[in-house]
Amino acid sequence: METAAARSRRDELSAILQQEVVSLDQLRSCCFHGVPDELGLRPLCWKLLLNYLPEKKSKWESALVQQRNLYRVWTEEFIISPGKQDLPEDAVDSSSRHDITCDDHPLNPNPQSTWSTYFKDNEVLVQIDKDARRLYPDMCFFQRSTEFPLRTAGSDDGTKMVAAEYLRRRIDQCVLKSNAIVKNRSGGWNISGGAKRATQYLNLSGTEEAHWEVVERMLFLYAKLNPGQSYVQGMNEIIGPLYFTFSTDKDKTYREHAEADTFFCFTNLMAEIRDRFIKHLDDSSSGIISSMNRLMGMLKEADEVLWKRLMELDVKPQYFSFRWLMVLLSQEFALPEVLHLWDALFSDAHRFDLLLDICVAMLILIRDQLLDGDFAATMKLLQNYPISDVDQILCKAVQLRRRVLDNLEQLPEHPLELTP
Amino acid sequence: MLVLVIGDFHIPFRSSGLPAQFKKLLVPGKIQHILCTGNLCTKETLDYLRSIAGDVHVVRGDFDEGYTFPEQKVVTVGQFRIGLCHGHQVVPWGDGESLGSLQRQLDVDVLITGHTHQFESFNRDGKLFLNPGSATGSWTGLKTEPAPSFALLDIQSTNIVIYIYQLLGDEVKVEREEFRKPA
Amino acid sequence: MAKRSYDLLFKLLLIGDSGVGKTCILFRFSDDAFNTTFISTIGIDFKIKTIELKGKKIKLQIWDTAGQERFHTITTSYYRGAMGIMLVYDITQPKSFDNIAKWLRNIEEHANEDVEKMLLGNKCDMEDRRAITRERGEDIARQHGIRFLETSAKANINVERAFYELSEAILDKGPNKDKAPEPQSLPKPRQELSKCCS
Repeated sequence: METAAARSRRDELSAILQQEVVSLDQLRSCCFHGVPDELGLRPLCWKLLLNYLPEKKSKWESALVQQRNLYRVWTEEFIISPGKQDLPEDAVDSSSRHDITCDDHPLNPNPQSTWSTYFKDNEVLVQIDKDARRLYPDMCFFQRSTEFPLRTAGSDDGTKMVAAEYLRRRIDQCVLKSNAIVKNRSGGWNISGGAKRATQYLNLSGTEEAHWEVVERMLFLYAKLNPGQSYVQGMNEIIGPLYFTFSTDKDKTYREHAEADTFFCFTNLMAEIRDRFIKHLDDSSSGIISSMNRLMGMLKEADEVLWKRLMELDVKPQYFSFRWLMVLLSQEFALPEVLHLWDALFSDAHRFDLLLDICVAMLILIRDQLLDGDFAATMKLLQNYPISDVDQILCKAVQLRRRVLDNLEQLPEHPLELTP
Repeated sequence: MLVLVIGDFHIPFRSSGLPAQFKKLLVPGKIQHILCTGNLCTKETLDYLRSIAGDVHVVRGDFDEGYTFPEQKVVTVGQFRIGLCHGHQVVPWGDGESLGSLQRQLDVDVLITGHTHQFESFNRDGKLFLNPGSATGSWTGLKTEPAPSFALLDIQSTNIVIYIYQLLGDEVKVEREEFRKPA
Repeated sequence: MAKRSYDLLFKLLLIGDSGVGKTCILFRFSDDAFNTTFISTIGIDFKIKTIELKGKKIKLQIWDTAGQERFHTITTSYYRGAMGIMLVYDITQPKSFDNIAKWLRNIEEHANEDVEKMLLGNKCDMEDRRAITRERGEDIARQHGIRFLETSAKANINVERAFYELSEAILDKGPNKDKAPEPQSLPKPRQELSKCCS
């Protein structure tokens, strides 16, 4: 049953979004405790909270058109065009034979060549492919085909292929369908086969795209546009919930452009958490090791007994919090809970201080079990976090933060209400 | 989709191995399928091919003993039906008419054969006929010192780009031509 | 004083390229099950299984690592405590095999000198996609003086055997730090029986 507080939050949210200029401060306060699912406002809220949509409502249309067109251009350039091969510039007739010993060809060992780049990109694509396929395997969403596959402008023979086909062909590991003809003793032919395609995976037909293939495409594009980071495992776990949210928007037009919108929101989000994905920044102040150390420091402040116990057991932060921090807890909870948590995370004006508070809260909430267990039991618990009530966790996180701020004798920047 | 077309190795009987220059080029991870015209002649060569690509199709050559390779094979890659046959069965060897007859029999867009150890690629009546030659340049009754060669096909929607690799002396010569499926 | 549920504790590590099947191998051993889709391992994962070997109860603490390059600085910190390391490659992926040399270097650099090692060629059920022959696996294992097995987590081939053999190698090595006081150990009844029957 909806509480009075929840109902008033719902009304408040609707009111905020009706404004001509959306107040981000107000939106953050309101979204912190969760965007109510029944209103279907989460996609819109996230687009605002992730700085994709401008605050001024009148600018939304033009901003969206611009970004979506840009995405389209990028897919043409990086996904579709590399499928076409270029002739040597001086070639007049493609059907006749040309000496290209000094030009590029598929087996060219020169690491600077276009073909070499193509194969290097394929290695990245193979990794992305593996991870995109295994996104939220317990849900069928990602295996289903999308309502809005990306169709190419028109290929050579006039047919419109789905864009996923270009990436499929690059790394297709199937066995070719074949018929074998064997001579039998009497000199006749035995035709066998119509052999099954022995693929390791099942793929959709050429005219459909699965949601995971859309995810693959976005991640590949991100890797091409951000060669300094390329693709790192875990990015799939970040983009997954974003894409799910946008492609299940109640509004059809928004659903149609879920891919482009997800891409830019993902890019914005990555800009904020990027340092955790970069190996050589591990030891820097913005890297993951420093975040883990801060987490343990905060735990010590909040609950020294528990902290001491973990030290005694030699349960190092990288054994559990590495994953928590890197993928924003998306592997610790079921998707609906993750979305709820991310409502709060995205509402945090100091992204992602709240994340650390949440992690400390998670530990404190199971302190009895942790204090009681040996190394193995503790590890098991931390790797399979038992509480799924996100409200409870957020409540605790807020409590902890308040205590810290009170201790520092500072006023909190945003009035954070505690749920009754 | 990248398909390697190669054959007539005759290892170890007529040739000790693939030329080093070719070995350097044929690294795993680039090629997706291999169509082999036959005459390997041993397991070592088959294992070698399988280390380059996960999907290998071989047809029986006249010196492939102890294997159950088929006489001919037809594979489908996208819009192209591709026929594979060693060619010692097609008489006269390497003859355009006889090959044409086999192509019609198999009803393929592309016919790949070997045996002559002579690289060939030509378009006849809108069909592509390809002979990758001998990968090791081993001798044959027709030719004592053919140049080692093989082909790499980039099979696209309606056209095939053919990359021709030949070892002339110590250097690898690479050529390119295109075959377009008639509408 | 509480009775210990095990006599010895062995720490094992699974390393190798992403996607070769480390998580599947671990799951097959610990839960005797196979799943075609596990979520990607981020950082490190952990499982416990207690086995009985030569009359002793051995608790295996098995660490499953993320394969991608990015995680190396995090995962190499686990090498030092490991008593046994399983290097896994995929027999259908030549690159994963080529990288074995790199993984071996990692071990040399970060693990204890006397760590027991084992090489596993996984996915041996996929014979039609095999790109690395058994001989090549055996050769490289012999070159480095380590044990070798081809496994399939999917078809449940040699997975249990791999863990038992690696554990046996650690056991045979000698005294271990995490040892509980040894009771008088009797020969395993099973072994005696088989001698009778052979």
